[in-house]
Amino acid sequence: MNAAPEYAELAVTTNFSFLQGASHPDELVLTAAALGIKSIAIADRNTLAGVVRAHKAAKNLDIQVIIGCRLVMMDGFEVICLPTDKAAYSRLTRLLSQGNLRAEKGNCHLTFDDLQVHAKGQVLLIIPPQNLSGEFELQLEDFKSRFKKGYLALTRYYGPHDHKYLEDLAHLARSYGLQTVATNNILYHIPDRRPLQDILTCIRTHTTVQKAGLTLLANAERNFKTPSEMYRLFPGFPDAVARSANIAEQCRFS
Amino acid sequence: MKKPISLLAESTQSAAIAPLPVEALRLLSDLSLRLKQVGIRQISSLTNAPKPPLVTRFGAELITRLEQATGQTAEIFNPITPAPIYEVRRPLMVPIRHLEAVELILEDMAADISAQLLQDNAAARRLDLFLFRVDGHVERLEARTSRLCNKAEHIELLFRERLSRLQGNIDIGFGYDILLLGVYDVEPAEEEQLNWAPLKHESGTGFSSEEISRLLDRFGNRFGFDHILHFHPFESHIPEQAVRAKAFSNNQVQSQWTAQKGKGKSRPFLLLDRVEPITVLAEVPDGPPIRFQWRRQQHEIIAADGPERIAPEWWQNANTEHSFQTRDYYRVEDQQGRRFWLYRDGLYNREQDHPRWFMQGLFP
Repeated sequence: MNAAPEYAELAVTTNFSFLQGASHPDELVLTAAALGIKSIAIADRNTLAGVVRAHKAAKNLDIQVIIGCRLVMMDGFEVICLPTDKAAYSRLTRLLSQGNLRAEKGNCHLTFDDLQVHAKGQVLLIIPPQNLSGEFELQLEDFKSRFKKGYLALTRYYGPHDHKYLEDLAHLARSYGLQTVATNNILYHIPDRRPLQDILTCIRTHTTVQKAGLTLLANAERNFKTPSEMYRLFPGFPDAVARSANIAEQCRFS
Repeated sequence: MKKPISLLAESTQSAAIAPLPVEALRLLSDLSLRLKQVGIRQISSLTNAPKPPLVTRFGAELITRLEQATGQTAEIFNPITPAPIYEVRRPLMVPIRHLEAVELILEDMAADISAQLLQDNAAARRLDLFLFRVDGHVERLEARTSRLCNKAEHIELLFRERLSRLQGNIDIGFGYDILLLGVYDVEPAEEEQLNWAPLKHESGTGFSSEEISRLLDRFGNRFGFDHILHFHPFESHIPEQAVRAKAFSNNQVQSQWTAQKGKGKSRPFLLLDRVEPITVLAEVPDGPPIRFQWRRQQHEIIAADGPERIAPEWWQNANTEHSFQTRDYYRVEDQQGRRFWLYRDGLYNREQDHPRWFMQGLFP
């Protein structure tokens, strides 16, 4: 391995994703910087609100904060949108306003049609569900027919079939002409935040921890990993890890 | 069991009822009206007043009610029991003194009840058999059933279990002179469509669901329905907690077993009752095991999949019998092709320096 492995974390959820993320943007930025991650993309659910605090925190640190947004389509398809220049950024904000105006407060209604109109200059990173289904494959097909380029996120969830899951995703990526990118799909900066995240999930789904059962995550792995750890976790996919840094290069706008 | 709504200490009854209006004493309406006319509105003004003048003026009933309320006088009342919906009564010329004789008469009564039920196209959930002893004592036997019952032999079967339990520990005295069989819970009978094929081949298990419910009824009526346990799925990531045993109940013979999403194939067929410690050689920090020793046998691992990481349920009490650490599960296969499910208890560098390993299950 290289002396200084390069890795950028492109899917970071902060507490500005209402009842999803369990850490403040500044906590996330500080931790990522301490672990030697060169850049992180703040991508909250259908909002850009977390970016401001992240930027403030990153001012005196050696870390690049990429502005991004996790667009959740009305059919549940999740894609992280990272604008590469100022024009793309304004397109993204226009897209969000459109979605917000369409729904009652707190919701955002987005479809592929909207994204297609505003797709110029955006890096699109698809976040696959933990259980791959035929429905997801149909959505991928739709995605491919509309957008020229896209990335597919690989994440080690420490689930029952991680290796098979990653292989399946790599296979999907090949057949739909997408490129794989490793990410850890961050929900909190340290594993100790898992209880808080569980409670947020309970509040979101109106239940109690005792009854929540399988809606809660099985483990506490959605935190930052050091770049070398990421290379270790994705043994067959070193280019997917390296590609994250390449994408970060493209998003010089901030 | 219902909890008491309120609880009074032995000597505080009078104080507790003192502020209540006099109507609370269950007086006749004109009596309470007369009390009010002389300005007695609360029970407290009665308890403090001397009794003889009260009796002369308002009669003895007032004092009786007052003493009943404070518990000074006993009040006897007969409990109201619901009348059975269907019943068969058998008065006997000569009292019978053997349970065998009861069984014989029961056969006859079951046939009668069954005829009544069939006529209305109804079926019973609960039946009670009353044995009236010559000296007035009443023995009551209750039989419940998970399968709606309106057939004579089924009814007989239910009570044969209850009677066999009585054998030897019942005082028959001078014998029973009246037998009464009553049906309490009734539901409309449902005709079940039968298979053309013989029942035995229905599901491959060799038992029809009817045979199983009859067996459960027999067990339930002999040992009590709370002693029959029934496994239900429970949503939990921790494998040994994903199943709960609950007391059997009539209404839910079938429980919903659905494979946990995406986990079906990763779970072993057989979970050990209690996890067993094993010694394992594995790569640090989360590499799969290379070889392990279990029950004094060495297994060389040729294939492994994992880890599947399952964190403890932090909201549970820490002093449960299972340790409170994150587990890394591996599915492994040894040289003979046997497959095991084992886990490391604790993570290197986060929780433990020397985590222990356990065997939890076997794959077919």
